[in-house]
Amino acid sequence: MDSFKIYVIVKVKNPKQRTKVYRFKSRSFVGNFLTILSNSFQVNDGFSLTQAYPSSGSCQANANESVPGYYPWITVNAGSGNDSFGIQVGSGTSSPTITDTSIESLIPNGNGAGQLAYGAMTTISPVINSSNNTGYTQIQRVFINQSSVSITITEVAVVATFGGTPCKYLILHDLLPTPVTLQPNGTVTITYQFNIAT
Amino acid sequence: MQKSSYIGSKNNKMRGHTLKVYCLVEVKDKGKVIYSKQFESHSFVAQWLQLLYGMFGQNKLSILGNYYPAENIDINPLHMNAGSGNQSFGIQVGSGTTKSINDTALDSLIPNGNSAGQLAYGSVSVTSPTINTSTNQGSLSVSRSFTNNSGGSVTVSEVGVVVNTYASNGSFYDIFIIHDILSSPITLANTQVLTVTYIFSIQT
Repeated sequence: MDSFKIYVIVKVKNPKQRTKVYRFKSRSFVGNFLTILSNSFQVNDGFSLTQAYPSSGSCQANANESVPGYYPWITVNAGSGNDSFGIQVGSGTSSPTITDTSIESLIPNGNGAGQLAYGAMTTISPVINSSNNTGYTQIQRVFINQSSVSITITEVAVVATFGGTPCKYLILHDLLPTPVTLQPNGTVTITYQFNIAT
Repeated sequence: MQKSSYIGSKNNKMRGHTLKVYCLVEVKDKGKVIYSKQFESHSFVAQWLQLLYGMFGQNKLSILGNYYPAENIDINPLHMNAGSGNQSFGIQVGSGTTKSINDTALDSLIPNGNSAGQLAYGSVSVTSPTINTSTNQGSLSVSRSFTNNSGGSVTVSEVGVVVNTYASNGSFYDIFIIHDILSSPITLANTQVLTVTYIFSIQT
């Protein structure tokens, strides 16, 4: 049993083709995740994060808000058409590194060539199996090719938001073991599944 | 689905691990380490997933107490900065021997104190992340020391992690997220010090 496993589930539906689903193990938390954990554990007043593309620059994050409210911490609930956080897809092919702060080559939201329509993020309640002491929770997003040309996805990432500002920072970056080509009107659903086994 | 020529190429070989948590236990007697063992923690419990779910979507959580059963978590949900003598959150130790995914507390907490069956809880310390760009590995650690001032021996058989979270109602809640049973219980003689360190490790 590993402490914590993350799987990426890719579901592809192209017109006039059978739906294809495959799953692989995500191995790519990046350093930002440890930065968030460390500063949160210590309740630090302010620390710097480099924002993920298409946001830019660094931002000052605060892990010690004094005013109660609905602040994000590792929040990914981006709405439809918002490609600045949540699950992102791209066309880069370089191996992720621990210092990555953005996906390599973002496929932006849109309906034109080289774009995909980003659906709203979905978060799925934990599923707990008490008989074998395992459980998981999922985050998910659907991408639709509404252009007239095919588009190929080679990388996926998760950008979360933090704090009242909020900062948008990369936490996970993975290359797909098999690139996905979406034909016009094709859809791909990317699911990150977070697993524990006690 | 298109097959790409880069699949399986050496430069894109899948590697690394998602997130591993290690637990290091050390016993000191008169300042000298007399026991040291590190093992992989296997025991995030269900409340960790519920915290993640709450944080991912700013979803309401029923685990935040009974009085406000549906509060959102607030910033910061993962306080670990418990001070000396504070047994309510941070790393805890106990004398229990069983665990399950639905645990919400240690089996049998060894309380803070200097009396029989108690241990003096030190403050929790957290390191900044260490990032190795050549190996794409990174880690941070959280540790706490427990001193036996009871005059007798005290046996530790379980360890756990409790985070303190600040909810949108302005209240604090202590949420149990990790539970591990030691493969061999550790008996602390009077004046001996146990240090428990949790190491959070990633490899990209």
